[in-house]
Amino acid sequence: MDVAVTAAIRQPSETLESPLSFATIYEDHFAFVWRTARRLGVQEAALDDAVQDVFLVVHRRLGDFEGRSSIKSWLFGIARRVAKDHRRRRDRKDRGKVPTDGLVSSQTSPREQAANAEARRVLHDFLTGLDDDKREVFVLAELEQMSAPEIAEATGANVNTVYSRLRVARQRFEETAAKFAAGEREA
Amino acid sequence: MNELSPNARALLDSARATDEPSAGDRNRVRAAVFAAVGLPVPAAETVASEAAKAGLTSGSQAAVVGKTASLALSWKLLAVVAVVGGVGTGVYVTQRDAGDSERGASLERSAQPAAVAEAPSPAPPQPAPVAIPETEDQAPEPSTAPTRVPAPTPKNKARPVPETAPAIPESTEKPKPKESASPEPGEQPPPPTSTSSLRAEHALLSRARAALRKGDSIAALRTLEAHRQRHPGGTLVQERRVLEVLVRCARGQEDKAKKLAERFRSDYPNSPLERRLESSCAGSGR
Repeated sequence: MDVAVTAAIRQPSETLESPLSFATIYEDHFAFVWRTARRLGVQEAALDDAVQDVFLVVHRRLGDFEGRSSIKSWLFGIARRVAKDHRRRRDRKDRGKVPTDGLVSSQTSPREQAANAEARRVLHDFLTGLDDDKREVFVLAELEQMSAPEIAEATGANVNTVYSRLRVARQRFEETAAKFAAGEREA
Repeated sequence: MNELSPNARALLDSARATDEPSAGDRNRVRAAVFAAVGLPVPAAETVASEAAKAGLTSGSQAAVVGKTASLALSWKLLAVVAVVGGVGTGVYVTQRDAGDSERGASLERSAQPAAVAEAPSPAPPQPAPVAIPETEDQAPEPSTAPTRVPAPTPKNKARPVPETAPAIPESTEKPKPKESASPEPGEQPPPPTSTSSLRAEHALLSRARAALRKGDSIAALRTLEAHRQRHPGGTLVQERRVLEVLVRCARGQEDKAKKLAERFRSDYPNSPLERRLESSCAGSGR
């Protein structure tokens, strides 16, 4: 068989020095993929499946990733599509249900835990209400602390568009935070 | 509006405090993913150490692993064996370096904290908000975007980014790259993707690839056809189509291979898999 053909059909991980390449990516970026999937609307019950899906695609395509974009941008591109698929399936099942379950740190007081869980519910409500484009920019900027050029790279939008989407998303979050604070005062 | 107000920032930080995966999440998903792609499942030292911290028994650790209800029985068994086995042996250390890449990359940004996935109570990262320019003219051009790669881990056993690979990264495909979730043009709309169907796709393509390696191109074609019928709009459609080109090359059917490659390029003009075609008999330079 043609050597080039043989080379071309190798498993993605085989094109690298060691299969540990995939393991390294998994270990280094698992948390990012997990957070991204959750914040882009994948429900808790489907999180395991969604994150697995992302890494299955990563394994398939690793040999084709050449590092001209950051690995986080590349992973985000995969995660956003997987999250979209999962959201679509969920929407068919139960529209409007907002994920509110999840992890609560065991090292915080019950009061803090309750406050954090409530804040998280508010954040998820807010993210659910945003359109995909603004949600992605808000998540990457405010929750992942990525710079505007990095976000542009990850989302395929130009930097001006990123700023514009972020401006709108921040305004909406301010409104959400103000309502939340007002509700707290009343309670 | 340039940054969030302290009130909004506090709400965000509070929400973020509970948004990290646990060590159990990491280990559970790792066991499933590695089993699915056919890699040896690393012994989960973290499970042992986290469990030890929490005073758990090995039985309860297995219960944590067994929590993955969506996995097929075989995957479950693999996971349980791997994790429970790792408790005793601890032969593979992965968590020590976990997050190094993210941390290394983040040093390039000011005030960029590392994601501490394993901390039981992860402190929310300090914000380094994107400052929106007052006018759009102030916005940096996209071309100035830093191209970063993950910092090598101290072990440096492997590099996730092969320097010689000339493929176009997916994230630069514009406006919206055709991607794994997109249906193949001209084929039926995709059925809902699930982990099990993705796994099934993966298995079929692996079989086809193995057959091709062995020189059994007939079996490879048959398996690819099975993939086409069972997963017409599957996640790995692009891979299947590229593989078919390679099989045609292996059979000496260069004209057919070129025709298929041409259609592929037309359907996926920016596909990162183009590199595989280029190195085959259907490469555009041949």
